[in-house]
Amino acid sequence: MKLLVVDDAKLIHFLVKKILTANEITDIEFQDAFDGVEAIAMAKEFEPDLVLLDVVMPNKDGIEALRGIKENNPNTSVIMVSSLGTEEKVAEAISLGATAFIQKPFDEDELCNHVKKMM
Amino acid sequence: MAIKFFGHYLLDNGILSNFELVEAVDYQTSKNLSLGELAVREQLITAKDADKINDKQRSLDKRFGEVAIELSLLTDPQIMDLLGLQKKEKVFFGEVLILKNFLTQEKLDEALAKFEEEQKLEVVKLDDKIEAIDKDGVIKDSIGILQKLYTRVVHDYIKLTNVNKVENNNGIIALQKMRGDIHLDFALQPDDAVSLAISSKFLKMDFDAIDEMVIDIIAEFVNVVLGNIAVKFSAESTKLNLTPPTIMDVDTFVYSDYYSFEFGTTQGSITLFLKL
Repeated sequence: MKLLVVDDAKLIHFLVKKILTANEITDIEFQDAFDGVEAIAMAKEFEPDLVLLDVVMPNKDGIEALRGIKENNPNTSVIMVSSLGTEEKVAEAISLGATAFIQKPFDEDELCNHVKKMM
Repeated sequence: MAIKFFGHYLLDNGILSNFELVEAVDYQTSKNLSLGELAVREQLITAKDADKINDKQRSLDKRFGEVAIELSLLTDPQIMDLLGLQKKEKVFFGEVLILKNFLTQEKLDEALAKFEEEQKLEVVKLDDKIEAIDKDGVIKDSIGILQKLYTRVVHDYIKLTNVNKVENNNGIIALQKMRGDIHLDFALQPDDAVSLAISSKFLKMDFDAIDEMVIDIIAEFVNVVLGNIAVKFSAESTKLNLTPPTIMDVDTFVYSDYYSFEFGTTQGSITLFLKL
């Protein structure tokens, strides 16, 4: 599976890889993006099966990035992973086609279960 | 358990579907009007005036009411009337779920009780001066959520020890801003020992010096705490956004601009700075 992780915090990229590897979810090709603009461009080029997408980011936020990704890659699944799970953001993300919204801080199991469902 | 709004909790527990969540939030948003929308509906200002206030509000980083008064488009009593009307007309999320037949009253009550139990925060006693300015409970809930998430991430004890008596140069300061219907500047300054404890628990690996990764983790910890505070205040159609967190220079950070709250932990101290 091709997985694009989008977050401005480097530690989240590190953490996602660490958690998935520790839980033996290993058949994954990773790519990283650190803001919304980069995410849209990277999704177009990399054509991921799944994107883990933060909301609060510089340049273009996660909601705008989701719009762009879904426009170019309608078959890509997107899971939002953010601390900003406000009513407005969750509803907007789901209506734009996000599969789920994981609220930070997340549990290992929560992340793994969502990723496994997409495999 | 992270802080979630009620609809997200229902979604995660399979009580609401994606479609029902979006439908309920959309309905609630269409009924719970912003101050500007209400002022237009009540024919106090035109839609063009509302746009002008909104534009200015964003560029000046002020509230809608403040800008409307400054531009002489609305008066103070009119703003108070609009706020009263907004409160009176407010539709709660649970009411929408019943109205749309997504849940029965019994199922709603049961889910709400479980949700409230999971989201409960420790009650903090603040001095009268701070209680007086904390009308919406932003300060109290910020403290409660910081304590809850610190305990959850670090698995450690944390207790409020000092209020407004803190100014030190020990530790990283990460600052983040909440904008929209609530304005809140939020900064945390953990001392080095607490920074290392947060980092070690966050990534489940040992850190023994403050490096780039530790700084990144503290910024992310601020983002997590403030995001959860935003969620707590996001119900009932409140619109909120966050700026990305930034690391501040401890020598130029203006401590006197903030209310400060120092917490003791078994590792060391962490200070919360709030500006409403």
